Amino acid sequence: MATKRSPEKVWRTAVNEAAEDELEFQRAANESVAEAEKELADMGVDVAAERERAQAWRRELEERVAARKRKELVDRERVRSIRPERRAPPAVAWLVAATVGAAVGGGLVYATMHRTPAPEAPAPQPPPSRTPTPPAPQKTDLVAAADIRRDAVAECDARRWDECLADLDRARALDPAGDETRPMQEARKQAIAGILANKPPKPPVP
Amino acid sequence: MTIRRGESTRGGDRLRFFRWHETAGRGEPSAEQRARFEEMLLEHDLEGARLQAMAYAMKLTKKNVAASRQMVDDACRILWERCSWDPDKVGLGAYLCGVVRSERSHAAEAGITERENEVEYLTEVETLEEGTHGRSPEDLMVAYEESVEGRERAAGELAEMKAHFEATGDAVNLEWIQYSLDDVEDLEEMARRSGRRVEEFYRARDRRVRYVQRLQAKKQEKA
Repeated sequence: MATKRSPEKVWRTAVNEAAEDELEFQRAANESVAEAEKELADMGVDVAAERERAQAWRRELEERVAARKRKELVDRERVRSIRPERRAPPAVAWLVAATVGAAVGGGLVYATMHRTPAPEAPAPQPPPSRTPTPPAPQKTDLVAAADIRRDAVAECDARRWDECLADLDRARALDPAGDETRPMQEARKQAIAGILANKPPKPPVP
Repeated sequence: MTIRRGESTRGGDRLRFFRWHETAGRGEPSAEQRARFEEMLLEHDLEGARLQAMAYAMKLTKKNVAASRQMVDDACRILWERCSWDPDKVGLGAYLCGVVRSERSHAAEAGITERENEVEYLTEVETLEEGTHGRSPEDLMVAYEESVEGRERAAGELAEMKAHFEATGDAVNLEWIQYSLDDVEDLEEMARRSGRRVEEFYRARDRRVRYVQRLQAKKQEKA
C-alpha cells in the first residue's frame, strides 16, 4: 500500500520523540533548585505552597527519627535500671551462709530448750503495695497538661531534649489542642532538632 | 556526589548525563536500613529536590498541578519504600525526576500491556561517568537523524514497533503509525479523525517513547 510518508521517516519521528523526552529529562535532572522554582512560578504554581508540602515531608521524617531515638534512649535507661547488682564472690557467700546457718541452728536449739507458751499470733498484714501512690491532687486533664507543658519548657531550656519531647507528647495525649499553639510547636521543633543533633551510639560489636 | 541543602544540583555549566538501569524488585529494606536511610535523607535538600521533581512533572502532565503533585508524592513514597537512592551516584532531585519518569511510563504502559512478563521493575537513574556514554541527548538526536543504519533498517524498526503494538493490543499507537504514514502529524487532528480523545494520543506517545528508549538501551548494552 502506497503511503505519503516513508516508513523510515515515521520511525525517525518516533526516535526523535524519544530523544526529546530524554533531553527534557536530562534538563530537569540537571536543573538547579532556583531554576525549578522559577519554572514553577512561570507555570503558575504557588511555589511557597509546594515548598510547604516539602517541609511537611521533612517534619514527618524528623518526627519519626526523633521518636525512634527517644525510644532508644528510654530502652537503654530501662536496661540500665533493671541490671542486677554485682554478685558477691563465692568465698564471701560461703562465709555469710555459714554464719546465718550457725545462728539459725543455735536459735532452734535454744528455742527447744526454753519452750514457752506461744504468744497470740498477730493478724496477717497485707504485703506492701508495689504500685506507686496516685497523685494526691486530682486535677483535670487540661490543668495536668498545662503543668506538664511547663515542665517540658523548662526541660527544653535545660537542653534535656528527650525529656522535653516526652513531656510534650504526654501533654498532647491529655490536651491535643494545646499542642497546636505556637510556643508548643516551637518547643517541639527545638526538642526534635536537639535530639537529632546527638548522633546515635555505635551498635555493639557482636 | 552529595547535594546538601541549598546547593545547586548543577555542576558548573556542563550537563551531567544519566544512565538508566532497571532493577528487579528488591527485598524489603530492614527496619535498621530504613532508619539509617531516613536519617540520611534529613541531611539533604528534600525541599529543593521535591520542587525539582515537581517542575519536571508539570512538564510531563502539561501543567496539571494536581496530577504533578500526585506524581511527586508517589515518587517520594517510592523513595522511602525502597530506600534505594544512593547520594554518591546521583542527586536527590535527579533521582526523584527519574522515579517520576519511570512511574509515568509504567502507568502509560500498565493499561495496555502485560509488561512483557516483567516482574515489578523500578527504573532508576544514576550519573554517568565522564567518557563512558557521554553523548548528550542533542548529539544522540543528530546521530539518529544522520544514522548510517539506512532506510531498510529504519523501515524494519518501524515494522518491529508495529508488531510490538499489535502484540500488546495498543490500538492508539497502531493508529498513530497509520496516520503518520498518511502524513498526519498533529495529534489533535489524529484525535479528530479517529474519534478518540487527544489525551489518548498523548499517553500513546509515552508508550512509544518507552518502547524506543528500551530498544536503544538494549542496543547500547549489546554494543
